[in-house]
Amino acid sequence: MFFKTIKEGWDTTNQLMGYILLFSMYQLIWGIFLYRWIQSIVHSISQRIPISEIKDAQQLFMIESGYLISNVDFIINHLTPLIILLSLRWVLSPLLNAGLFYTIHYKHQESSRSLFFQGIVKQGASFLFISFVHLVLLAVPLYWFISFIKNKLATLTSLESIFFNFVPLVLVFVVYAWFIHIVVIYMQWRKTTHNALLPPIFFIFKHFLFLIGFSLIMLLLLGLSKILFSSVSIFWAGLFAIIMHQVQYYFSTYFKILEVNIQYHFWTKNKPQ
Amino acid sequence: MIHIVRFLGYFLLPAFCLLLFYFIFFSQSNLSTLQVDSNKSYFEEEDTISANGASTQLEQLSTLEYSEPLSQRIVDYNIDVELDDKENQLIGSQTLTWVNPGKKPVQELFFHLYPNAFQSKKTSFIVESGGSLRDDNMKKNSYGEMMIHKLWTNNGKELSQNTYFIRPDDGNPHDFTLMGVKLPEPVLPGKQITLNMTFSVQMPYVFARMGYVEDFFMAGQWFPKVAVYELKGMRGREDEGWNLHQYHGNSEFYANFGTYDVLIKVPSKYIVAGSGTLAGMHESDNMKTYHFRAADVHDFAWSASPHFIVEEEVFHLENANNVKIKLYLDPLHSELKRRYFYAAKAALENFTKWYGDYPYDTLSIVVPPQGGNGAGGMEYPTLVTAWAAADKEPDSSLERVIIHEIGHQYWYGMVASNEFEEAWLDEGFTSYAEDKVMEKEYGIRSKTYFEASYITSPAALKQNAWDYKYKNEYAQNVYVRGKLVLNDIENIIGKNQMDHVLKTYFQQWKFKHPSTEDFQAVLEEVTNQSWADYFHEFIYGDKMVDYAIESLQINEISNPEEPPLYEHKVTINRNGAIHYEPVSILFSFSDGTFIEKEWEGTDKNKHFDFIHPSTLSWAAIDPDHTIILENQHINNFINTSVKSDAKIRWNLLLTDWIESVINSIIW
Ligand SMILES: [Zn+2]
Repeated sequence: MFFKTIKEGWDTTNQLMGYILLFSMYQLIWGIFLYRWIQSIVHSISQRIPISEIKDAQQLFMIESGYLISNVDFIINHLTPLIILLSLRWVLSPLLNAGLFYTIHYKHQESSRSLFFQGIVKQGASFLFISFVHLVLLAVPLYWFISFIKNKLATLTSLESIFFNFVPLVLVFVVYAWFIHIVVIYMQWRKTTHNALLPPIFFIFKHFLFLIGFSLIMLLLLGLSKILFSSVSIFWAGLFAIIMHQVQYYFSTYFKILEVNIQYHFWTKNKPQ
Repeated sequence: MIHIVRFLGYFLLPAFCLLLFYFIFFSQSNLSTLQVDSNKSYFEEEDTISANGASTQLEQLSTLEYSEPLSQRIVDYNIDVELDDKENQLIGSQTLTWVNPGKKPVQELFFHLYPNAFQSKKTSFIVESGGSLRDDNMKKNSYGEMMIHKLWTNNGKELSQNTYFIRPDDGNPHDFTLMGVKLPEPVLPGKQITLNMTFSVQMPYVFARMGYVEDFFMAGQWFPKVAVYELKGMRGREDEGWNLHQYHGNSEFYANFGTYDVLIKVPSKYIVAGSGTLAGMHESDNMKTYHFRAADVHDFAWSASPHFIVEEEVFHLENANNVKIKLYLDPLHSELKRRYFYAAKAALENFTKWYGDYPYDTLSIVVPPQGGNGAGGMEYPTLVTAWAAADKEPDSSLERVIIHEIGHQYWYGMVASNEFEEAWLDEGFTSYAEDKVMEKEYGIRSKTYFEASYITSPAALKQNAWDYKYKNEYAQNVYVRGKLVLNDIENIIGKNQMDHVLKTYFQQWKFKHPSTEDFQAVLEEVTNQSWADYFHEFIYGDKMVDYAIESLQINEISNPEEPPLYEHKVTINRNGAIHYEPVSILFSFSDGTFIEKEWEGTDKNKHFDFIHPSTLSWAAIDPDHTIILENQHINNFINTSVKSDAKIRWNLLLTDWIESVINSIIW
């Protein structure tokens, strides 16, 4: 049954090649923005690293940069482009999902208008709402988490104690974020197939172990491809690295749409009637 | 296959649960500290009341048996106190005679009940300090308080019903550190009043300068202490009156000068160190009574422990009176008495030469036991505390704290500025003086540019201690920035003139509670120039110096016949106040040549243009770190960043990883 689900997902994914190309172009554009932003940050930092010949200057750099990254104004100034980028994407993403999910579900229907745009029109608003709830569910613990770290940092002195205090917190947050992500995905499927907004909690708990395992496999696949591509860009410079970097967008988009398709088939087989 | 998938799930689920338990445990154990931190502090309202007075004929306090007065003695305390070492309590009675130094009748008296700062979590002190002070945290049993049991005048009139609490700084109804007493009849100018009172103090577990650690007791701010009555014209006051402030998290003390006669009764095993001179001691019924007397001081502190090892040496300097140095050592430091004495003598000798005589006959040094740092590193008139003995071989912080606290004998003890409202006049001056002795006697020169980097939140030096936004802002300004400003002034006028300024200031203002403006006047008089602009920027204002290399442009000028030339444009900005002398800028080119330029540094910015056969590799403002008040060295340097392949790769990689995180959540 598992292989069958994968196979079906694979098949429907390959019918969506056009979308995969479009989506990878879309991600490539954001990638360029992100690259420029990182470049400007790395540049503005690295040009201030003093040479060792100036007495104590490198220590001064370390001390003062430490103060700077704990300075709220400085951080906000430098993070603003990233925050704008993220909020734009946070709005666009549910609309794209609305179209994509709709297309996958209704792909056998003949329609004169593009299924994708129909999807955006029909369920874009609900997906936006779901994504807003998603944001709130992520932001509230994140806010708590950050203020906790700020308070804690004042009392912790050794690197070791910082590590042991924060790593479990980060892990817990990642697991929580993953769980919310799963709930959101199946809320969206439920909306697409049943036109209902409530999360399919019962479904999620019934198939919880499967969902964990499946996410883990996808994580493994993505991680492997990430390592592969990263090592390419580390060991080969120049044009080849850049090309590989672009190709990567295609692969990761393919994986992501494959994941969505498999989730779809899993949902339609096991969904509550 | 589905079994394998399930198996992975089985593995992850328990792992997650374990993490959750771990996390819950951690967050529980940290909850209590969080609660204190999240308390917000109240602030508010400067309280500047005032008074006049030079020529009022004062009624003589019956202090004839004390030495010739050095100060205007306004208060005379006679205190009897007994230590209950089981309950960590002090049971006391005191007779205070207060002379009205002003020209107006005084209707009420005000008392600082400092131990009430530790009464609850809601006092202004605890709220503001967040339960920790000077790196020392409040413990569960750090609560303490002061009770006034009875209060009556010399002619037997009971005044307990006439007392009330005021909170002039923040209106915090949970704060009971400042008490008023309505007098049955006014004290006329120059006349005196004598009040008797009985009181008890529950000592806190040592925290914020006072309390106990096992059988070590530090009694500082331990008796009902009358507030300062300021005269007209004093510290810029327009009218005479009380200077009233509660006890705050960031604030030390301020009091009028006078005389103290104190009897301290302790169980026989205890040894007592106290301010002033030991006048006698007797023993009966397993109790010892120590008798201390001090004159021309504005506070009295004492400490008791059965473990003190007492050492005594005399400091002798030609043309100065002899000073008996009494060292009350913790046994852990019994081998270190030489270091303590050497540091104390070095401090006394240099300060005597630089500023003036230490006019008291005794200086006591208390070394608290391990765990007693809450009582450590503190100054009281003629009694100072070292850091608690923790190490057998401590580093130079041992000497540093002794020298610092003895420095306080001058700026806190004798000059006695208002530490509520302009603490830098004490801590800034003392830190400056401490550095000078450390350098002269131990060859330890502090790198002021590192200390300037530490100033991330510069603020005005003359302001109420509790108006600084947070604890660290108080410390970095009052101690560090204050000291650096004095160093900067020294650089401007030269060392000899600076010595002259400080000596004149000390001699002119000892025992007189000067203000920042009074110091400015001395500086202007000695240097014969106006310092108004300088004080406006750095002392009454919050300015630092910050020169920055803003941008750097290089263009190639290609020439068909000759090798190419490069046109450079470097922009330097002035973001802070103006430094007093031209700023030097060093340009280094890739062919190994250097160009050094100077800039007045008075304009907002300046462009430097070069045409050079090779490209600039870096530029640095003030590469020798001579600008003392420059606190942002990070923008003093720029290099022509190399666009290497390696850099591109790392940028790509970083982009990749951030992208993966974003892409795993959204499109
Ligand atoms: Zn100090």
